[in-house]
Amino acid sequence: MEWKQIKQLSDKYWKADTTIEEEKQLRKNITSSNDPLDPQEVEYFKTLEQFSSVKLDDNFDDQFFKNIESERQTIPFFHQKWFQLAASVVLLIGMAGGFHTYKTKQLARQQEARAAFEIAKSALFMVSDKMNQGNQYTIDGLKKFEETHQKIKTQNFNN
Amino acid sequence: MIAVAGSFSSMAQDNAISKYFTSFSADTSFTKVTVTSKMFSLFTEIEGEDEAEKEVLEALSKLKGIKALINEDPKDSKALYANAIKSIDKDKSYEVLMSVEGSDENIKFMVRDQGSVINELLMIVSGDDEFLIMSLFGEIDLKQIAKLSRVMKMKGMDHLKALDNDND
Repeated sequence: MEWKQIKQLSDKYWKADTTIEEEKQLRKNITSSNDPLDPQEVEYFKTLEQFSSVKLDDNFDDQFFKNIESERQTIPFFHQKWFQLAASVVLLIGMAGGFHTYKTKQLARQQEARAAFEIAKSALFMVSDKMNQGNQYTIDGLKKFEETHQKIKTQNFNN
Repeated sequence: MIAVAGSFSSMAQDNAISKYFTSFSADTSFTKVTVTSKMFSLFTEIEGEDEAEKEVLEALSKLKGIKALINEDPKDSKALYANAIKSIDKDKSYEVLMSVEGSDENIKFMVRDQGSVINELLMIVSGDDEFLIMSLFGEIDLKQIAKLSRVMKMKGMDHLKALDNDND
């Protein structure tokens, strides 16, 4: 490509009028011998060309996803399944243990209460029994009194 | 006023009968039974197994404690009885509820009340082969307590009925 053409394209480029195709031509055909282009300008287009020729590796995607996978595996231990399982097992054992202790204590308390209740029960029955015995005496006494009273009355009547 | 009433009621706890009980605390010929108010609070966890037990629980729910002194082989039951009555009579707060003086057995029921509520029921029994003094305190329902032995006897009759059925 003639340097004149290049110069034209360059001018057009700086006015931002070039098409993508023209820009490509400019980048590809520019060399340091292309006077009267400014060496800095030449350098600029060359750098651009270098950047645009950089391409991704074919296995970039594979590598990329592999990296993501490996990162995913280093999630904190307390988010991991084994830890959650272990935690729930520990929790269950703790709960079962606590419940067992509670039940044992409750049972012991109930047995103690039952034993005391049996004592209290027999005490109450004894009081109740004696009370009724007393009442019976009183009733018998009243009956006797009534009978005697009746006898006296009838005797008085007969007399 | 409240403070005075409070000290009065705590004094009431330290009455003739408490003193009487403590005077026998070292005597091993007596069986001492004490059911404390703490124990009574545990009775709420018990479920009555039959009608009689339910009645007992009902009666116990108002009580605060039971104390008993039992001697099943007293040397001189009559003297113990007279002595007990004498000690208790010193405390003027007890009234005789019922008294049975027989040839072979003496029974005396005494009560201490506050207004219309009976706070303590004292039973003293002396027989040829037993002497016993028992104190029930809390809120005493005499009718309810009297009812208990009838319920118990009915339960006994139920057992008899069951026996009759077995024989048939």
